[in-house]
Amino acid sequence: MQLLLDVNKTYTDVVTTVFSSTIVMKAWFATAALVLVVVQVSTATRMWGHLERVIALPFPVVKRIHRWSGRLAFACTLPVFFHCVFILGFQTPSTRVVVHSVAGSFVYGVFAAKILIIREKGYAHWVLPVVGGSLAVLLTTLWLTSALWYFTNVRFGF
Amino acid sequence: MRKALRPLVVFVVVSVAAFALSKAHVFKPEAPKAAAGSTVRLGDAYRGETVFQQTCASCHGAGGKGGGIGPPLAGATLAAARVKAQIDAGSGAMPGGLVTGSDEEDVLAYVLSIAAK
Repeated sequence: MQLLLDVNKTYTDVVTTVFSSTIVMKAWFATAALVLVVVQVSTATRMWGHLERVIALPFPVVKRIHRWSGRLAFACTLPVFFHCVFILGFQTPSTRVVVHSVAGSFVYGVFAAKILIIREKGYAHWVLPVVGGSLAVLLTTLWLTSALWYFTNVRFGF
Repeated sequence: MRKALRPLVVFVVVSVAAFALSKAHVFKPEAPKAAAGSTVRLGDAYRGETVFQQTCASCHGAGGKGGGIGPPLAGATLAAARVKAQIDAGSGAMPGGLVTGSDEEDVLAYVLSIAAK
């Protein structure tokens, strides 16, 4: 039991060396992930033959940006996921938290399905954009019900 | 057909696993304990942090670190019953009853979590 308690304390101690609290850290990491989601959607749209005038970059460069922004976005979600799942847990005190908890339960499932679809060829043309779009919608929902709420209702700062 | 179902199966398995982990709440922190014999009820420290930032931080500073008209609470030696009495009745510039009910219990849990261990 002491080990379990130490995880929470250690996590909080590490996070509060930079941020004023764990919740603030999560809000900023979620915001970074959301910015990268915008990059993801933009570059994906470009790779599917749209926004060619807006994103005037060669295809291989766009592809590389898409992959690295995806990896970074995934990395940004990990410390948030750890705190949400292992320390806070699934909660239902209000509609906002219910929506956040449910969306959070699905996000890695959609992410894993998307990676599988990318690795395995031969799916219908519409499958990848739909799954990728769903992932973007889920991450946006998570940001709206957490970071945006925190910045507008509690405080905006580090 | 089986290949087409594979992403769906992965989605379901990973989502159920994430849901189960969040329900298991593996590293759920214990609420800080009130002093022995005290009847003060303590709520959820994380919810209390949000209430604190909304209601108390303008005087006690973000994270209770001071900087406003109220004294710093982070690292201070605090007894649950005394903090509750202060919230209920207020004193000096602090009005009583700023937070009540479950919000008060959550704030108490949070304030004790940032107090001296």
